[in-house]
Amino acid sequence: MEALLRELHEGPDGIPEYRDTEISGADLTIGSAADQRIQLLGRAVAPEHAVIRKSGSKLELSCRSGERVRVNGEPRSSSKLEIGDVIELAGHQLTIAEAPGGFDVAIELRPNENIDASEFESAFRTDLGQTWLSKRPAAWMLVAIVLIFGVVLPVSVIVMHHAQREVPAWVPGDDFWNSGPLSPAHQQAAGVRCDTCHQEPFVRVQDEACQSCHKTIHDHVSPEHLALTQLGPTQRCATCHREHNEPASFLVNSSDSMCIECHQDSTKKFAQLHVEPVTGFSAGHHPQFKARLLKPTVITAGSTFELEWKTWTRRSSNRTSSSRTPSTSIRIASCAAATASRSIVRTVIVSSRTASTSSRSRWRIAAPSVTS
Amino acid sequence: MIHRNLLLFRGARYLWWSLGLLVISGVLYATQGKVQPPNGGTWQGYVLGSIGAVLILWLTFLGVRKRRYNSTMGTVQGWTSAHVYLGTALLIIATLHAGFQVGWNLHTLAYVLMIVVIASGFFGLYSYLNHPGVISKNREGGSRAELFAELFELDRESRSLAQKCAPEVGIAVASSIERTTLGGGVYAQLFSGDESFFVRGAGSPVRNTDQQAVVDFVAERLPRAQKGIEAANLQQLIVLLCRRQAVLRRIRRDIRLRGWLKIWLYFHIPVTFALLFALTLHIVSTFVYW
Repeated sequence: MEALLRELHEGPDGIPEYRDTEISGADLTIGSAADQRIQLLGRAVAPEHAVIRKSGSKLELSCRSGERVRVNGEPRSSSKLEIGDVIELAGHQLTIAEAPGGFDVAIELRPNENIDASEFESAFRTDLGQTWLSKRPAAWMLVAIVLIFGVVLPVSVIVMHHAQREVPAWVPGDDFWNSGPLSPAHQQAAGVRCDTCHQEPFVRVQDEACQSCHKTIHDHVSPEHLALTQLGPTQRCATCHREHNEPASFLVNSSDSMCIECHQDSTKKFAQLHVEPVTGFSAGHHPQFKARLLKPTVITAGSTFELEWKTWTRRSSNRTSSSRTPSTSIRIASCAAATASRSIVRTVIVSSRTASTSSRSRWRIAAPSVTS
Repeated sequence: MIHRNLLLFRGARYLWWSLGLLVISGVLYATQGKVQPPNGGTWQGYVLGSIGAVLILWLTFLGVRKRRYNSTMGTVQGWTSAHVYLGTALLIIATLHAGFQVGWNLHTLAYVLMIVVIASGFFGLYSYLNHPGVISKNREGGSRAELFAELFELDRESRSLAQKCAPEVGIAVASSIERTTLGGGVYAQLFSGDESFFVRGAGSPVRNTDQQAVVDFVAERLPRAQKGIEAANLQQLIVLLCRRQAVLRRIRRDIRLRGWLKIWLYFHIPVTFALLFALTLHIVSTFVYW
């Protein structure tokens, strides 16, 4: 479209002056920005306010959304234009005139001479708030990303696991909630299935989850003995065996402090159960090792006698069962001549039998040395 | 004056608060490690985490407080001072809470978002301490509106003077004024991008970066001036165009400095909201898989 823009000014002596500009291009853009074909200044003028286009032989004016101009005094957002129509915008007047030869349209512009400098400033985008930068959409976008990885994917994967559906390994799921590496053995056993151990949401890992794999592990203190103490209910496995910790080897806590925590004031805490206090593992802090839980039975055989030491433990695989088996029995042959001093009994281990269920019992390795 | 007092508010009162908080946190951290290594799961870890979470909520609340103009709950200046010091302390407290452990997980995501917020805050603090002085020096004590008023007058004067000169000079000057860009997009504002053009003779528009091309164009016409009055007009025009160039430089610099003064908020605020959400998930997910 070829357009002729005639800008009319009042000269110094009241004589009108004009300046002609030829504009060519598809659209005749009007606005306050510097790249508009017709740049009009003023607060009421948007950077891109309106466009005049040729449709067929007619001219058509359309405003950007939310913007208005007055066409022949009527506020309009779009209008067909005829010769003689007057468009008004922030005090500027554009009149459609008869186009001379070679032009599609001629426009007479009477600019608003009363535009002051402050309105002039609004022709430029001088603040970051006027650009595409925006805090709110950015905040929503970031929240959405966190939502997808923090909630949507984990919950979907949990639901699919419940429905026994296969989830490809590359899909990030509830392992995104992992608070630290698992110990290698647990990692191998559980993989990405958090519910292997965390069976109930919002409930701490229960011993059943541990014992579903660790079938032959015994209690540190039997419930019967525990009932005699003031230690309260049985500690969970995870009270001492803390997972998702760095380093992963910390799972088996070998520091003295864990033992000492309970054993240091045993006289108070252990009540009827007589266990001497332990304040460390060095001399003077740890009582002499004794086979306290082995019960001796005297078996006389002719002139000599034998002591059979038995310890009673539960069948570890079945917690509710009350049936008991002697898990360890160590038979000690002692030769003690009746005439000899009775103060010293020399012991010789003659046989060590262990029941199958107690093959991992610590008493197997701790051979008692008996003095009386 | 705000910027000078921000860090020294009431004898840096909140610096001491923060240092006190850090000492408490350090003691909490150091008392861990007997039964299990330092991490967020010990009772000390829970306490450190709670302090951190409360701090994050309170630090976010600055955005609410500064909009409550009739609030009597401390001054905004005091709040901002505390915001800076306690925000810095949060960086250390959260690190101690995490026990220096990181991984590809939600918990570290929340930590990283917090780092982004605090780092952008440091950038903002630097801007607030440094830029206002440079900005007012650039404006020579005036306001941006005064610079625009000056530019507006120079535009008007050079336009009318150019019309008294040869037609190609009139076109060149009028087009250079019309096609002068200031500010614009993010890049143009932050790096003083200049997409100005002017119409040189009969040709198509040519680049007019920093208005130098149009000044040169008019200056080239000066030796060829036929009449004394023409030469005087051209000389006067060059003076106006050079003054215009100087004003435009100042305005561009002002836009750039103000842009850098504000740009960090476009990171600080949105990431804060992402952090609040990630923090909530961090806490909830910890107890889902307790």
